[in-house]
Amino acid sequence: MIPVNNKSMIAFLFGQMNKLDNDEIDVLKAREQGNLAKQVNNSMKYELDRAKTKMEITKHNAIYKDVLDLRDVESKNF
Amino acid sequence: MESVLIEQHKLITERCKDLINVSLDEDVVFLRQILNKSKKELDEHNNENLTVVDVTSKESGIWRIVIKNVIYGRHINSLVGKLSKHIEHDLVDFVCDGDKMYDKKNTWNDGWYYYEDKLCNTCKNKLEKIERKNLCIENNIQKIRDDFHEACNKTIFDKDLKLKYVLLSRNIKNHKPNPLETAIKETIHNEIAKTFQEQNEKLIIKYS
Repeated sequence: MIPVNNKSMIAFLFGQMNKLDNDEIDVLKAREQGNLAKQVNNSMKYELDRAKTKMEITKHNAIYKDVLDLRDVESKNF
Repeated sequence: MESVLIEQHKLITERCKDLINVSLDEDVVFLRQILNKSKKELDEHNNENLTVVDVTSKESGIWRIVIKNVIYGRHINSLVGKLSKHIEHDLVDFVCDGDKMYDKKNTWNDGWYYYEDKLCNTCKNKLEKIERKNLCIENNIQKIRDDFHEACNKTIFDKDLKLKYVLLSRNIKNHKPNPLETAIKETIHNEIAKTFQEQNEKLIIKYS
């Protein structure tokens, strides 16, 4: 599996858009890839929200001298 | 070499557009031919390299609006929403004999007008207190907006991201975006949010 970040995904999606314009891939494939990208975007939104929550917890801990931690739902390493 | 040519074509299109506005009618046709030739070259370059070398000022403006919309949606709106809940709008509930003190025909804030001189001292104090509280909240909201607005302007976004957005917006100008284009748009929005979040951690913590 190739590691992906936002920028590489934008480049990939633009490449696919170009391929679609040149009829190198069909609409169905493009749609499926678009839907997959949507899922990746949802994960990214989750990561951004998580980072924001961590910032909020840091502030809370600093103000109230607390030791709150963001619970990891997926704590197991696969 | 190619980049020099592209710069030349950019210059030609800019100059031609200016000249067309002030030229004689018989010269306009000639100028349009030159303009179209350079435009064609730029379009071909854009298509080949999946980029946009001739971003217009309008497109730059739209890009700035997109940035603000993303930041407003992900940071400011929730903060403003939380604060706005505490603003008291229905001041009629706070005064004695409200019907006599207010006149619906005149307008004041949300359609009510009150005769301050007719209020009893207790009500006057109550109103003053509420108005002070409302003003304080409104000032806080404005401060949040100003701070984020300033942060938006100071944040350095990847230049390529802007070009990609402009390219996308040109592509979807004449049709409804397909799932692939929608995904690109969302990815660009995420990248904007990520960049902002990375560069403005202190501001976000301040208002969290």
